[in-house]
Amino acid sequence: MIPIENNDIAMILKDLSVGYASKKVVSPILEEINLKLPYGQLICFMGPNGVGKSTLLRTISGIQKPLSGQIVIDGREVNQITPEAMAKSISLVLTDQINAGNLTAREVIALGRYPYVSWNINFSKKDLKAIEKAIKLTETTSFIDRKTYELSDGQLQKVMIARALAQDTPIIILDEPTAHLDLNNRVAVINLLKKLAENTGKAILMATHELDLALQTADRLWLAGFNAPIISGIPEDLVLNGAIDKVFQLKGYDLRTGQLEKRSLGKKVNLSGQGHEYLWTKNALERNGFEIDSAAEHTVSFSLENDEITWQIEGEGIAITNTLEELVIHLNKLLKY
Amino acid sequence: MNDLLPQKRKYTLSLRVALPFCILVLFILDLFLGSVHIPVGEILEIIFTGQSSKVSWTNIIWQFRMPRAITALLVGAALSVSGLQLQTLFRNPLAGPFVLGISTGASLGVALMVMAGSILGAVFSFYMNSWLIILASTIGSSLVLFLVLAASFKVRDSMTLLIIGLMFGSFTGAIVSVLQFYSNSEEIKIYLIWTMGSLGRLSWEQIIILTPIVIAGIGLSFSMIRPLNTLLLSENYALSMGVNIKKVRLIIIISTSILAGSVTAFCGPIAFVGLAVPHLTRLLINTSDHKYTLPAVAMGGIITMFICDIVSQIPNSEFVLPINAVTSLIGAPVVVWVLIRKKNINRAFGK
Repeated sequence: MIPIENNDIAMILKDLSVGYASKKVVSPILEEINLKLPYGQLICFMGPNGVGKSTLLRTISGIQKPLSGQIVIDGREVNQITPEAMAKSISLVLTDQINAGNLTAREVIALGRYPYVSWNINFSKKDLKAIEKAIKLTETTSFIDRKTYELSDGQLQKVMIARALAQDTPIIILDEPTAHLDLNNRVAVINLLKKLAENTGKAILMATHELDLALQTADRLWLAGFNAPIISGIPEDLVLNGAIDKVFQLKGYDLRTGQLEKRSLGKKVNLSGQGHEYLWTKNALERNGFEIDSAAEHTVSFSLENDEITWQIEGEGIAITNTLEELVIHLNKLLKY
Repeated sequence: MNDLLPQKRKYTLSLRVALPFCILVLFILDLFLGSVHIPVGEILEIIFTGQSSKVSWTNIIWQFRMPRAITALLVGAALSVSGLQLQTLFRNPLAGPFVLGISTGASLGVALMVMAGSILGAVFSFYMNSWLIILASTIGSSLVLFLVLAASFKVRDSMTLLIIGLMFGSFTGAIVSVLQFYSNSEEIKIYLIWTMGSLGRLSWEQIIILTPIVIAGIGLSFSMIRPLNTLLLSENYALSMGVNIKKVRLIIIISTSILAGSVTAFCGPIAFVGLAVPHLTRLLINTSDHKYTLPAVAMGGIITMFICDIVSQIPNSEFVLPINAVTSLIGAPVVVWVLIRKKNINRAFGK
């Protein structure tokens, strides 16, 4: 194993234990955390609800105190860093409801420069440059002068990421930045973060539940399960060694094929052909309880003409359908008897 | 190098020209209108030279109308600024300067002095000593405030603090009710008149004391512009930008109590202005950035108090309405009308 060089590490967690402590009870949520956060990588922090992801994020971003152990940023232990200096090391994107409806996107992004300005908020050339760069990197230019109450959830999330970028910190931590977003925006946000990690060399840590997107995009995963130390590794390793299955206790979902486990109702059919038409036909059949079996009595095939697909079923006779829906209905009728 | 906002010029126009101009006009109007007619030219002469063709006019302006107008100015600025700060701190459009129990604390002090005075056997005349009222009110509000401050070190989030403030308010309000129940009608009347507020009670000496206090409180709130803006996002975001929330909360509470507490001590609990002016001002300058809203709200408060004062004196008549009734009588319908026309609160508070 080749160790990652120490100067490539943005943050080191040593024997960290996080949770809540009152006067009488100490209730640790995650213990024995030993992790490294490297620069230039997008790290997805995953785990089931209630496992303590947010607690750990809050602790390493300085909002909450650790129960024990060390957090080292740039060679310095966190409890020796003032809040003002922390604000120049770590920026956050949170799920908190914001009250800034009557600020424009640009004004919200400019808030990111507050650790650098004096009480009367006069932005220097450097501040304005950082704001412009953040806008450019997040591609928020088209709605930059709109009030945030006019923005869609996806646009607002990009603005919040731009705000974190304007804060110009080596580390950005995001808590479920893709929650409430539609598929397009989820992909856009994750790709944006990946691109930022690559282009800016920042260490980007995000907690997320987007297993499929994280597997395809993240440079590294941190997996938190109940009653087990957090596992760190590249996504493919964690899939193959079963760590993800163990943590998520996936029920009826085969991670290796990326598909839900299909129920078979004992109906068998043969399918011939290839390409993505084959895959989707297979999906439709399996989802409806058909098992693909080359020895089956009926054979389904399809042909393409002028971009239009027709399916045919060969058995005792031949039937032709124009949609998969009709195909499934027809097969169900045939195989009933 | 500060041209971040395209709308900035518009805000600056409102802040530097429109609002100060309104204040100046209303100030002169406030001096001009009253039961005795004095020509504007004479008023200007009195202001600049201290003399006029009639000694009685000079006296009316210098001894009555001027202190009154300056009081209105201080009260308007103080209450509105503290209202805005608390609305942002508590993320609540219904917060005002009195949510932390400052006015009920002051009421308790005054009620104890006026009504329990006879029970305790103390002998004094209410009319003789306005300083005594100020003292009682200050002690009452300071006491409640001290408790709220102590609580603010214990609690984690501002919302809990808001509820604690309301509870203190209810508690002290209940004690006042009990006192009223056992008091005679004369005492109750004295107390009630105090609760209606007045801008005309202050002498020049008292204004000289109140002015630096209000300036200090407003100065404190201006030093909070940066943390107030970060609080628009959320307390956690503010923390992540290096803001010391507990310290900021403390300074905002201190500034509010200096402003609202001193005004209540000198003029009685003047309702409504602190709650409503921030909302009205947000319509005028369409931003939540405290760099613009804070001065605008201060000026908006001054304008509102001038208008209320002018109305309360019912121009060209002998009658004077209690200022507290006027602020709500004309203020409440205006705010309702404005809010129905523009759904501004929704924009400023949450998405």
